[in-house]
Amino acid sequence: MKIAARLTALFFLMAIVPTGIVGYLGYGIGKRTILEETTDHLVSINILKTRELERWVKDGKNSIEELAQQPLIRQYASVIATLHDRSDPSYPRAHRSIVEDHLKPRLQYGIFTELFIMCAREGHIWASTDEKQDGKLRDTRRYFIEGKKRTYIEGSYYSPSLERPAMTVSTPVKATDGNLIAVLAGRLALGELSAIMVQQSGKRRTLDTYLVNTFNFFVSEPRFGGDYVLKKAVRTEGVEAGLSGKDGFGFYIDYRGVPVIGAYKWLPESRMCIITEIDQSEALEPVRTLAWVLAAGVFIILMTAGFLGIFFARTISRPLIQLAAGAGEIGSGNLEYRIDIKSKDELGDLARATNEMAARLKETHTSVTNLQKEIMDRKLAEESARLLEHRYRILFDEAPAMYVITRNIEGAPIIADCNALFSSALGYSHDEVIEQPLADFYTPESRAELLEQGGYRRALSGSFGKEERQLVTRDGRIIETLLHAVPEIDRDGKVTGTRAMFVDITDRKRAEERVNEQLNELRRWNEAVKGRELRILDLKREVNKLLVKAGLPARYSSAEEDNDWPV
Amino acid sequence: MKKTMTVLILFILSGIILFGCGRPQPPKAPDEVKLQLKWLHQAQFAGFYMAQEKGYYAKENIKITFLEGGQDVDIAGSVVSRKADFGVVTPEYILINRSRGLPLIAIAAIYRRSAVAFAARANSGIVRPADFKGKTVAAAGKGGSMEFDLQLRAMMKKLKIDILKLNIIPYDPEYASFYSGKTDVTAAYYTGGIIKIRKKGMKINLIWPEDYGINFYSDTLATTEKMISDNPDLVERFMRASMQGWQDAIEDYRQAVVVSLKYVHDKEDSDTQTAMMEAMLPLVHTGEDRIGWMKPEIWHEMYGTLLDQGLLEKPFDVDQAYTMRFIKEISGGKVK
Repeated sequence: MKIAARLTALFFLMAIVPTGIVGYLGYGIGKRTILEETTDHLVSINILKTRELERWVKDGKNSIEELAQQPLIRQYASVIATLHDRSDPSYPRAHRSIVEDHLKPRLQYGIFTELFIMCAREGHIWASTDEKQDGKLRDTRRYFIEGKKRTYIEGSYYSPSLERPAMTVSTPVKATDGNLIAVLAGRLALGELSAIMVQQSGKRRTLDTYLVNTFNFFVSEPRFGGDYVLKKAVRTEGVEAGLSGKDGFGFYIDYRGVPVIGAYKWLPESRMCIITEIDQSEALEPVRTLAWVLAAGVFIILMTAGFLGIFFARTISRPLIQLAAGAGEIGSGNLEYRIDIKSKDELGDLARATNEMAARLKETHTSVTNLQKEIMDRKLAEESARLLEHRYRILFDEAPAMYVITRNIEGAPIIADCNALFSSALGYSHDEVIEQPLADFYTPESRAELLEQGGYRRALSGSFGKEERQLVTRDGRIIETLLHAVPEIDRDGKVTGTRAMFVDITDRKRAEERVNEQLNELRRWNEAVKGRELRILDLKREVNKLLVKAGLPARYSSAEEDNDWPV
Repeated sequence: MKKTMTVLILFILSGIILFGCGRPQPPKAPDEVKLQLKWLHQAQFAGFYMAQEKGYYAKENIKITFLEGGQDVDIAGSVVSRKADFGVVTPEYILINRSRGLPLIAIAAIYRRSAVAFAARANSGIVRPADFKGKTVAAAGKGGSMEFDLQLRAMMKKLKIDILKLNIIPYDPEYASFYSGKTDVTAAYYTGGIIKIRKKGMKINLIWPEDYGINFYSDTLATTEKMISDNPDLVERFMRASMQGWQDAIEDYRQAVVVSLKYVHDKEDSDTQTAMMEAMLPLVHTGEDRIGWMKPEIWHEMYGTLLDQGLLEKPFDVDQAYTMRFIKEISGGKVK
């Protein structure tokens, strides 16, 4: 892989690993924080709404308790309780006073939609702000039964009589002597209840708070409901948990079938649970935004790292490539080439050093070339010399004549070298002959000619011609030789010895002797044969004569007679 | 050891083959149950339709058949004669039949508040029973409308109003004289007639007998004593499925309307069925206790009223007219 690619990949890797880890951790922490904040928010809303609900109920209770304790209410209630005849003028007066002077003005506060007072003994309504309710029997209603004992609130229920959901708070009305005379009750404005639940702060689109009773029915209208109060049940995980008395939060599907994060809280006094939910899609929107931001951040960092990687890789690799190319050019022998890097960093130093190196190389290249040439010439000369030496040695060793090189030691020849023919002819090994006086291998006559008669001196001076010498072999045999000697001169021109060539002429000498002997014999035999041949010719002539005489043809022609003669 | 293990494995395998892989038991044929409805198919019976459509009857191995009621159908008689196994019966008829010695018995109250109401024009000034004096009241009748007359008389008696001061005329299910103004007050079912009248655009005042101490049930689920004694398991299964159907209907009345429309004759009349269903909700689910739950005091009150009106041939133990056995069994004894 090229260094630029490696550097780019390294930059990417160095960027992606830490940013990936940081991004992942950041996302996890952010998500957890957002979810914690969301659930905390939902739980807080539940607590807040619960307090509002409690305040609303408490206001209702306080209001009705305060009303029940008003002296005039108690007084008029006592009047009604004691009057059995409604035609008595005191009855309508008491009735009107209760309704017009006390109950109806209280409705202006908006806590109640209806206030009514019931006979404690029979349970029918004595007086109500809704005159249609007068006379109705409420003796079986829990708010009546419990309201005789204490201030009591009956949870949301659907009143067929009113044809709407109702929530009623009741309290005993007692005479000054403490005897129970009536039960005062008020219908709480459930619209206010739903308003408390629905009222939201902030811009959450799907935040929804509602109340559910123990029958799983909506008690307040949920944000996305449509006339759900006491008409639709809800059985979500959150509602079931809330109704089982738990406080907490969870992730589940809500009454619309939408995944939500919900907080639930059981309200023991109201026997309801309060639910606050938000769509997971909205709640997790910041998480998604965070994820996108982190992803975008990581992407930007990676892109930046990538571009920086490419930039730096090129910044670093370009002079390196130039250096590599320059080094390659110089390395290929172009010592004129100079790398064009002017930066003052290490790469610039390296380029300058390379250029200097090239310059030095160029300077030394010529001498090296010459030296190489000289070496080559020497090598060639040495090779030639070696070949000559080799050829000389072959000629020397394999020559049919005996060669001896002598060294002049005080006028006496010492054998410095000889060829194989010389030593073998004399019956010695090469080593036995070397460094031995040449005279030791001569016959006394030849030794005298060599030394006393100045043969060696003539050879040293170059005036030696060809002379015969007799060599003596190890076994005493004499070899007749024809000697030719010349001086041996060293490099300085100084005569150091002689180079002598002995040609074995023993056979020739013997042949000459034999020829001479044979010639002598032949002469003698010639002399002897010459008379016999003449006699044969005479005989042939006589035969021919006899044959002719006998009438027969001659047997020997004259030519034959002539040719039969030896030449 | 190895031999012992081999024998043990063979023994286990034999057991599996004998008890686990033997011939499968044929599924038990579902019990065929006929339910006599109080009237024609309508949302009034939504809970039973829900039980059927949601498979609660099938789950209890029951094959249900709905027998429609009508003007000439003797609902209680249908159950007593074993033509139907169960019936949606007015409690008054249970009591009347029992006084005749017929063994009808209520096993659950569907409408735990009476749907009977009296309607007067909003501008008539008639807002309470005392205002009925001297007015024409359409409430008299027999058969299905007997309870109008019964509750009117009981209410007047309870309020110590002389019934003779009322001009009681026969109940007209078409409300023609009420629309024309000839009738001042008409009895009507909150789940039926009242919807019809309001659909006409009339503003009305409603006078509920319940508001004046007349606590009656409307629709009750009844069967015979023989059915209970012979097949209590079937009664329990039928109850479990039916009450679950009603629970579902109440919890999601819009779905109940959709289901009911599969049964009603006028499948386009969604508005009426929806209004009926909405009107039923507080009657079926009172917010006090479990759907179907019955209170002895109400049975006693109904019995007393009927006895007082001379509608019962002879006195009897009213506590024999209903049983909480099955509603308690299916709810595990829980009131709510």
